[in-house]
Amino acid sequence: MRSFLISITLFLLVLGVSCLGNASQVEPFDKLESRTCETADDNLIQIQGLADALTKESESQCPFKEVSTAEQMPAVTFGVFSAQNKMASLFETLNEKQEKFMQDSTGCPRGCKKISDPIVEVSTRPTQYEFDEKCPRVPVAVEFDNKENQKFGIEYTNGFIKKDFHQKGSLRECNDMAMKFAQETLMGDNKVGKHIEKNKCPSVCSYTSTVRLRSKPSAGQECHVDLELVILCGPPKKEREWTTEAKLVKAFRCEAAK
Amino acid sequence: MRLKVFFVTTLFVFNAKGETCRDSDKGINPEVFGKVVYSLGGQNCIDSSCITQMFKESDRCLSPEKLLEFSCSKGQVIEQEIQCSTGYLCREGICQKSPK
Repeated sequence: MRSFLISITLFLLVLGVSCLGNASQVEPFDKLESRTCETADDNLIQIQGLADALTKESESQCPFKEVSTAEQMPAVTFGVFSAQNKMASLFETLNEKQEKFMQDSTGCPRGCKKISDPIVEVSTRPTQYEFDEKCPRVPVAVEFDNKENQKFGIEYTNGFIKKDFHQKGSLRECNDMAMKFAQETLMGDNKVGKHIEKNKCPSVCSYTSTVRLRSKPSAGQECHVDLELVILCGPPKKEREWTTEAKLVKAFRCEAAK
Repeated sequence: MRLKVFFVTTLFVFNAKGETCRDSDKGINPEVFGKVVYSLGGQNCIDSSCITQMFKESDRCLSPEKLLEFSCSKGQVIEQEIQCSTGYLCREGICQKSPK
């Protein structure tokens, strides 16, 4: 369909140019009406119409479903003394991989623009646990339903507890607010945290969580940070050793180039 | 109430730099149930997205006489085994006077 439209466009373009050429010749105006090409303007309108059709077709092709592939990193095991260096090294590698992905423009049809939206997923958990009958045998994500979402002013989707921090202040202030919320939730100091301790994960169990802060552009003296919190409830840890697993989710979509 | 406790020699100090630590019972208080939240490896950022791994631990009993107490010192989490004194038993993360 696309190649057919392109062929027709090219044909009409050639025809249009030929007619424009003819029109530019010095001939009496009344003789032009008898030609096969009626006027140059008519052909230009037709060409414009086909170009619009092509653009529309391109637009209908571009917003196809989002593409997402994950690149899993090798698991890293560390003790308390090596945590800092190993995490830094892991993130350096992830940073490089993300930059490479951002620079890669392949994956979308011609005429479409690639919009990359990579996500880094990190989970750290103790390597060994002690059994406790009050806790799950393996770490499981703490989940919320719609009713709880409304009650606590959060948005839970696919293991992530999301909360938006949008206020007057610097980015640092928004980050601090978001981190405070995350810490209070884990400590059981705020309403959500108390609810988790009472109904989902008793205090004796270990919590392993990932706190992700995404800063968003905002106008004037306002800051905007999205908090994503994953809480896993598991048995108490046995050893002071942890395992981190990280992956880069290479997500992108294609949009019509304007 | 003055509670006598014996500190077991094993003392673990988590020495990772840049982490945060919060202790609900603010120090080594075997008679108060406490929780700590802490991070290892600090905050790591990629572009506009920053990730911190956080953990929570609660004071808990390792045996009827032994308590595992968590606390914070200079932003670091400390884990300490505490032997409850004679006449005291560890229950629900606290050294409590045993009923006669």
